[in-house]
Amino acid sequence: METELSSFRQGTRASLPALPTIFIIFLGFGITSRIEDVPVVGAMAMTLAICAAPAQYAILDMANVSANPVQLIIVGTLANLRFFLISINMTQMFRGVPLGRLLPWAQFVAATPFLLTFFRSRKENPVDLFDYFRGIASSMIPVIILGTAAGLWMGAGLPGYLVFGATLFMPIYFSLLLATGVKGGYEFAAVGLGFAMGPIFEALIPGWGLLAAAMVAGLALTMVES
Amino acid sequence: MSLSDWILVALGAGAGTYMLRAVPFVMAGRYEISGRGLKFLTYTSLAFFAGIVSKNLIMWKGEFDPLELGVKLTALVVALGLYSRYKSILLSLFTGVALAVAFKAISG
Repeated sequence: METELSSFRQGTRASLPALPTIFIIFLGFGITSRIEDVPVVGAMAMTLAICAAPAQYAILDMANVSANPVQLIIVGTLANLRFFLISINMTQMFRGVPLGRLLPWAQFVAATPFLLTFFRSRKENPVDLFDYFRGIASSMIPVIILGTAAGLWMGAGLPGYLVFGATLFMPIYFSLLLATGVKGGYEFAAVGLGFAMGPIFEALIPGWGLLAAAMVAGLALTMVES
Repeated sequence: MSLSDWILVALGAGAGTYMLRAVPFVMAGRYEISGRGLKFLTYTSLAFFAGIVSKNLIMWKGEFDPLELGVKLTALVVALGLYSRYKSILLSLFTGVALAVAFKAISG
């Protein structure tokens, strides 16, 4: 087992290729907040308290229709229901970690830290997965704050081709991880099904489609295998 | 809405989201996931991972653009090719993205 510091550093290093995409996602939230006249403190508070850009976008979208804070709170919470399922998955990776250590870091449960930790859990030469996760989350925190702040500051001033390029870091990075980490026919089938069904389901049920497609694929393959 | 309304929304949605994130950890000691359950979670995670990739490649700003898809797929193929040759994620990643940015800048 690697040392705690080493696991933390490995997590930080693993997150670096995903950070440009995360920056751009929160930059977009900052820009949209400015366009929608959300006060700077309000936009920054949303990034810090919610830490989930899709839900933050959903709140801004809903604010155009309703100015009722209770409705916006419900929308923002429901848009994040997927985190419940992600956390259930993560409990399997963090077995033995005291609850008192887990709870402060639960705030940073999100798709990227989960997926990077999941892939690391499948490699040989084990690390402390919780410290690995903390390393990922620690590098993401300043990036989401800076991304939101930069978006609020600059409005819509970034050249389109740079935004386009920055959004490609995450999918290409994840593709490389998949190409190196998938084992066996059922896992390849899971990747193929998720790749094919994800965007279709997402178009049908925005915000939920990727998770729904993944669960359908997971359920089907588990049933076929057993 | 006023600043206090926005802060109320941030804190309320943040608290609701935190509950969703934390409750499974609080409950973790009270249930055991079976072998089939673990396989389901593994396949679901991989499919979710692949779904994120394909959604990001196929749609940008929620729209489908065949030209952009071609640029993205070219960048992806180049990155995968470089990785299989040099086994360096950073080299493959940055080369693929740089290629896509160059295409996009040229094509406007």
